[in-house]
Amino acid sequence: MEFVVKRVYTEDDVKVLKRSIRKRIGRFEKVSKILKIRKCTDPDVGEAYLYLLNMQDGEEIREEIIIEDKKIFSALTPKRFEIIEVSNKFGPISIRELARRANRNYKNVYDDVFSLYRFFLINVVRSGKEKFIIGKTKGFNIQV
Amino acid sequence: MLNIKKILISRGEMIESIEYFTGKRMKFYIYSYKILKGRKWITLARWDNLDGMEHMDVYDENGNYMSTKDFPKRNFDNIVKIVKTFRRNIIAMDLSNI
Repeated sequence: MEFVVKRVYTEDDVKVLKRSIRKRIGRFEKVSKILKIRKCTDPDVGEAYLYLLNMQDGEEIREEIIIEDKKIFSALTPKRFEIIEVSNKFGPISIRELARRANRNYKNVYDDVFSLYRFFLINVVRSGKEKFIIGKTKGFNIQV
Repeated sequence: MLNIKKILISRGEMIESIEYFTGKRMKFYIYSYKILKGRKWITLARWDNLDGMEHMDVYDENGNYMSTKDFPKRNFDNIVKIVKTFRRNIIAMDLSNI
């Protein structure tokens, strides 16, 4: 059994991702420099470099997630579906804003977000003190 | 274009591919085997060509860099097969002759 998720990133999502990388590691020039010094042994820097390189080209990001773990079905509850729907509609969105829009308690939303993130049903990035949900889930496909 | 593929092989274990294309040619790639620790995905093994040479980097269970090993170029499907065979033992294996 395979549970396939496709996700696309809008310009706003890419802006949040870029800001997140800039705050965590630095701008493109700094990331390139670190990569040369550390000979690409830091996994975060290597990944950030490819994201920034792609952003400089202005090219799209295509993402596909294949879940082979059957426990995925226990992670999908109606409330969590609502989180995916709200983040698709209003994203990129902070978890705090998401809780406000879904009219739910922040802690419960936070826990649900990380239950979904565990299976990559949503993508979460840290930008400063806030965590943002980025990317639009294009649909689920179950292949048996 | 950036092509990202993530395969969750079991709860808390994932193989990730990030491929950077210029036109139709794949210029850079990073293939990683990651485990979930708390709420963070930690890289245990990583194959890439970022410095122009194919190699494998190995990390400990806290994500600290341990060593770099020679590794001939493999496509993502091969890496998936290797990871599914060895799982967490991969960090202790010598895969250079596989």
